[in-house]
Amino acid sequence: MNRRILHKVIRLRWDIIDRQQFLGYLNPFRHMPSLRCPQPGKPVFVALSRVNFRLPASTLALLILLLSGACEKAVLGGDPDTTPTAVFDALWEDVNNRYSYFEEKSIDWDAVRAAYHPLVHNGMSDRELFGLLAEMLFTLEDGHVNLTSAFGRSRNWEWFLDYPPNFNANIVERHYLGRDFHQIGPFRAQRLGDVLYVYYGSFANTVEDTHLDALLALADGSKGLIIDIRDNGGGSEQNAKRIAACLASEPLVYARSRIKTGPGREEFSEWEDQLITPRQGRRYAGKVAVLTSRSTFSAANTFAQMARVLPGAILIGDRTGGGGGTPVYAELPNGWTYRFSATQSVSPSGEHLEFGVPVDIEAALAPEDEQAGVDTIIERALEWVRG
Amino acid sequence: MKKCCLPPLLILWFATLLSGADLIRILPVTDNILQLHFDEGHLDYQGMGEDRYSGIRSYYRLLDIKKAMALSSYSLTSPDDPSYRSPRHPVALGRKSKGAEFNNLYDENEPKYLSDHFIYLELPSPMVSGNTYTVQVGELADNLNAFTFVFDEQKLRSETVHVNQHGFSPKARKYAYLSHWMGDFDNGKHTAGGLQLEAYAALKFHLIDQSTGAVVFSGPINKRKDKTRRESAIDEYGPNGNYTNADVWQCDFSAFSKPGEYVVSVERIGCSYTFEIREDIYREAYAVASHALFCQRAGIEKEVEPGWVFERDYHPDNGRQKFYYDASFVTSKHKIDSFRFEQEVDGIWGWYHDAGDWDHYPHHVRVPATLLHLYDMRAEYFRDGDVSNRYKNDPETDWINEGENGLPDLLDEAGWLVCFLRRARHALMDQGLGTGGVPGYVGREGGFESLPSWMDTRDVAVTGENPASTFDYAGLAARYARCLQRFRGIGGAVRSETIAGWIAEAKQAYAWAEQHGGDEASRSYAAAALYLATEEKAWQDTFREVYEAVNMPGWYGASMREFANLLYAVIPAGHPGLDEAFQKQVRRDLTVEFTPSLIDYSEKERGYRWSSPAQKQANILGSFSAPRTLWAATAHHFTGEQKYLDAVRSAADYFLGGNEMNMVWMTGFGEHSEPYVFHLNSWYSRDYNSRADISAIHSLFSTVQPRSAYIQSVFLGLFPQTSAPLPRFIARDKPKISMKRAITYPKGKHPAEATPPGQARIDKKCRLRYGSDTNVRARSIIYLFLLCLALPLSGKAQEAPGHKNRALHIAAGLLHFAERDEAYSSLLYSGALPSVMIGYGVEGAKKSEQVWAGLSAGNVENRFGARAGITTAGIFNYTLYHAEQEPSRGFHLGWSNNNLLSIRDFEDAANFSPRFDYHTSFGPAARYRYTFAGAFSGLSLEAVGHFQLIGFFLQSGYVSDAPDGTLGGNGSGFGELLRSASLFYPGKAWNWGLWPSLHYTLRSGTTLGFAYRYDMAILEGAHRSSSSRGYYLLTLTAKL
Repeated sequence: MNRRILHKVIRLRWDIIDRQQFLGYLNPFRHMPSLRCPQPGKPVFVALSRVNFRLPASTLALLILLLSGACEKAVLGGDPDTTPTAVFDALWEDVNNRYSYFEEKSIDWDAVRAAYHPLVHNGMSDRELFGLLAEMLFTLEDGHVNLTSAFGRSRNWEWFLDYPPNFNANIVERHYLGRDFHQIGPFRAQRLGDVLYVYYGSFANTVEDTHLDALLALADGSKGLIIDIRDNGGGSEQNAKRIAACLASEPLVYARSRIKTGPGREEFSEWEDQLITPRQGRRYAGKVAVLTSRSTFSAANTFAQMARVLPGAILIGDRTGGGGGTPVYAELPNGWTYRFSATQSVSPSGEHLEFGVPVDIEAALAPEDEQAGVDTIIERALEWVRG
Repeated sequence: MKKCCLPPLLILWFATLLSGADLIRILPVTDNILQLHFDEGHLDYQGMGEDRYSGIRSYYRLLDIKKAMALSSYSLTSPDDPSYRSPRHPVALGRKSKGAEFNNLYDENEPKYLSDHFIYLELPSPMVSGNTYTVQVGELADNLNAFTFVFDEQKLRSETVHVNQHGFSPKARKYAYLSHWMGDFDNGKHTAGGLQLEAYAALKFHLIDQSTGAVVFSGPINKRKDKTRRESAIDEYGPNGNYTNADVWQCDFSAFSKPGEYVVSVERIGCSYTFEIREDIYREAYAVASHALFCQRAGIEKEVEPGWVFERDYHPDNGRQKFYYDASFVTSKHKIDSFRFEQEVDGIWGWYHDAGDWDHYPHHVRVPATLLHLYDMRAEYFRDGDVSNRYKNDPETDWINEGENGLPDLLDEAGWLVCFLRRARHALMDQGLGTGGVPGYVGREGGFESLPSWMDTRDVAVTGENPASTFDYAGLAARYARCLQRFRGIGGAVRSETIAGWIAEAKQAYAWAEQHGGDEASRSYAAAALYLATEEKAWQDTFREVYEAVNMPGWYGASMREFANLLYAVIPAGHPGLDEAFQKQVRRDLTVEFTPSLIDYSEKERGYRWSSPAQKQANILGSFSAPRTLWAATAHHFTGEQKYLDAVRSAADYFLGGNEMNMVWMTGFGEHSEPYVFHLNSWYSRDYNSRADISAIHSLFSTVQPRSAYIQSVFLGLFPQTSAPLPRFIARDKPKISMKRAITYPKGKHPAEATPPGQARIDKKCRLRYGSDTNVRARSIIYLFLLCLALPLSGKAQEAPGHKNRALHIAAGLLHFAERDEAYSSLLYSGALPSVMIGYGVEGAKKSEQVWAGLSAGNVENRFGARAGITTAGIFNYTLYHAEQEPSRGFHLGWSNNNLLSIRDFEDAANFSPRFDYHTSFGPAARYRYTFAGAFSGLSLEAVGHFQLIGFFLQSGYVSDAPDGTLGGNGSGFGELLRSASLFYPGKAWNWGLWPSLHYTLRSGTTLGFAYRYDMAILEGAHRSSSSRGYYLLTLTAKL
């Protein structure tokens, strides 16, 4: 009886695989283009069903053989092709499915394919393919798009290279922070008279509660706070939220976001409000000037948007560089990795943050000030705080 | 065990040098009736070298019966009971008597026997609890004139209260019985000696904790059976076949289970002997009873107690006797008058002594057949060192300790006779005397010159090859091989060749017996055992053929037919080729055959519960023959029904003191156990001067009183070596009944008026015709031993799901891990990760459960060398259902739950990592288990499969490392979790696995193994992630 049952089980397993086309969505292997039985036309399951089960040791051996090699292949399939065409198709397909700003940037991705695909051929070198793919991705005009291989990393930095930097690190370091600035976690802080100046160079540097407590303690008694996020390429939005939470006294909607969910141009999740939730504990209620530039990007760009909705805060400097979409990371069949934006964020009034956050007070670094070691934008902020 | 609560003053043992009818005990029957026990004296039987006719020295004074039966001989006074301020005589009395010491029947000047007399006095008014009373007997007793006691029901034992004196398992039913037969006492209310308790019906019984004196449980007493109820088809056993001649009431304290030491006290009556309640209550009894079997072994020098050694007997190297073989003398009996002592034979030794004799009978195969059956049912309960018998094959060699040989001592005992039969078979063949069969009868019947067996110089008869015995041997050899298979291989005590050798023996013996026309019952047993051991279906066909073709009687006879059917009934499910429908039929036939008699009637209808055939249970001189516990334990094994377990336990209760005699029929247990086990070597070697030695009541044989009287007195009357006529009371027609009438009172004109069978037991200081009493006694020991074994076993089986075997599993090895997270890459990441798992398993009677937790961590790579750190952990559990406890083979179904987490940190994915998958799901599970036999015994194969059907899962998002539901970032953690969770169901998610493993079980019960565990999972949320896990594990399983 037991042999009969086992035989049936095995037959059933064979049936599942052999008849996958009839089982529709029930077939767990349907996404496996490389799925095949270990011996096409003569599946191992058939062989197994003929085993004389009077010999359980042979059953065991067969089960192990079956499971150790065949199952992994059957379930997971093999790796995809790595020909330039396959790589091109994988990249184009994934961007087509998940990239979030085709419409906003008026990009005809099909046209891009039509333009670039004929240039791909299986005889091209890796570098040639890399260059071609990088060029294709460049059309997305997105600072969150990169292609990385062992020999290169493509990028689109037009979002700040076409604009004045409005930031001179030497001036900030030598004339404002000086030798005795306070290094509090990722923050560099210095009292400029009755105003606390804080430089935060990257939102990738984690902000802890203890850092914020120390910073806010330092800000006690000051007339205002200057948070300088110029030349800040972003990082984690969580850090931005933590800082903003210290400046809010009530929950504030600073943006709305949605996620790309499919290949359709309008296949997104529902818009979801993005909130600043006031911090429990020490907060700062004074004036806050947030300094931005075109190289304020991604999470820094988001922080700038937060500052826009904080009642006591203004933005001073230049429009931010954008980067409102959260990037996804992925890997091509040939091992190269890439990333691109897969979400959208808009201000409460509907402006896409991808294109930067406007400032409340425009200010630029004047060449003469720069020569004199003066940061025009900081000075403008000091003026606003003290004003 | 803590000793009795009896007031020491009530137990009046005196050194009786010249005294006669001593008053040795006064006990209450109720508050209104007293029992006075008079002992007429003592015989000092002949010692070594003394003549049996002149060697007896008697010390006695007979009770003056006339005076003893006069009311005026007794009076009762009390200083604190107003009713007895002045002496008062009893208002009625009665008597019962039994012979206790048996003299030289041919000495006309001596009494033929001395008796114990029990006088019952009905008091003019009941005694009052707590008051002091004095019984005055005047000159009636030789040792005293008066005796004073306090009537305290919680401390003063009453012969009316009967209880298992050894103890009860906490979960067992627990009864004490109230009953007493008082001989010829008859006052119109208590008629024909039967105590009538209707006036006490409203009273309660109490359980008294002996450590604190506190009442811990109380309950009513209830009438169970009337004395007119038939308990046997044999009229001579009592009025209408009633065993007791008195009503039986009961005290039910089954609801009380707290371990401790207690007595049952009944208001206005008295209390019981002490007893215990505790787990594993029968373990000591098992060890002692098993040792009793060891002491029956012939052909070795054996240590019966530390410092007390029985010399080697009946061995060719002893030089005391010659061994002769008569091929033409095919018999199973001792009657060998025409045996030709001509052809010498060598190499035949090592059988079992018969009960009272020292010879081998074919029916002794019941001993190994029973032991092997028990072991096969519950091997896990028997260990090496349980008994630790020590012996020498040769007096010049070192001691062999069976407790250190790697085999359970039970199997050592079971193998003893099997080895003897093999030895005998090969001895005959090697010497050209035999053609492949085993001899039937071997030895010489009876004792020899009042000497122990090792001094017997009579030549030994080895009778011709016996086909039935050879079939029996074939079956035993096969089943022995089956049992040994557990100890084969690395670290085991048995070599593969040994097992193969036994199976070859079994087949050869079977072929010989079949060729020579062995009987069908034995053939049936051999075929069933060979099927069990070899898994060859043809043997099953043979068994079935016999089963269906032969309508043979013998279900009640402990025949090999019964053993065959019991064996077949317990063959585990999944045994290759097992005809399960036929096995069901056999099981059904067994229950249909036995249940009405042993359960419905015997258990339910008797006053004292115990299982024996309703119509055919032998009772010889008060000794009921073996209870049928083996069948009941077996029935419980394959049905799991409580009633069978209850039957086994109630039989144990009966033989351990809950009987008419208030006597434990196993020496050394309880407060009142059988002191006269009939074991001649003990008698002959313990005290050559015949002095009673009652000082060392601590083990089976230390209480045996040496009685060289065995060969003389009544025994001589039966087998006279003189021309003297048989004593009159030894009638040949109904010797047992006649004997009972001869030495007991009241005799009565009809057996119904004589001593009821439940109280017919006498001191076994003499040997009666047929040897049945001693034989029964020995068999009782054997079967009580089996009983003791069966009880814990059956308890285990029954108490599922209460009882479970628990095991800890540890596994370590490598995980071949492969994963594809299509939100990140179409490339496969794979690699080997170190992996550990720990599991906990519970195997109950009907289901097996295991829970496993595992953790693996390390790096995997894609084909281009990009790495990802992987941590994967899981908790997997499954429950499987099966028809029997710990099935060794079969296909079992159940359900499973899997909880699997995988975290991967892609080195090139920045804050897109770490990514994870998690799912919790449920689905069906199945297991195929195959335990190897034969040359591969000890090995087992198991494959567990599961297929997950329903649950939920979480995974990193399509565009983030966090689940998609958390990306809003504004909800509560739990809310975001709910939003992120997806339903797990086929089509949306998949998870199945198959875990084949190969195990080898060491003798210690620890299991080592290799396992390959494969699991695959596919989750399709916003993206698809799939993983494949192949674990190569070494496993260690330890029983808890």
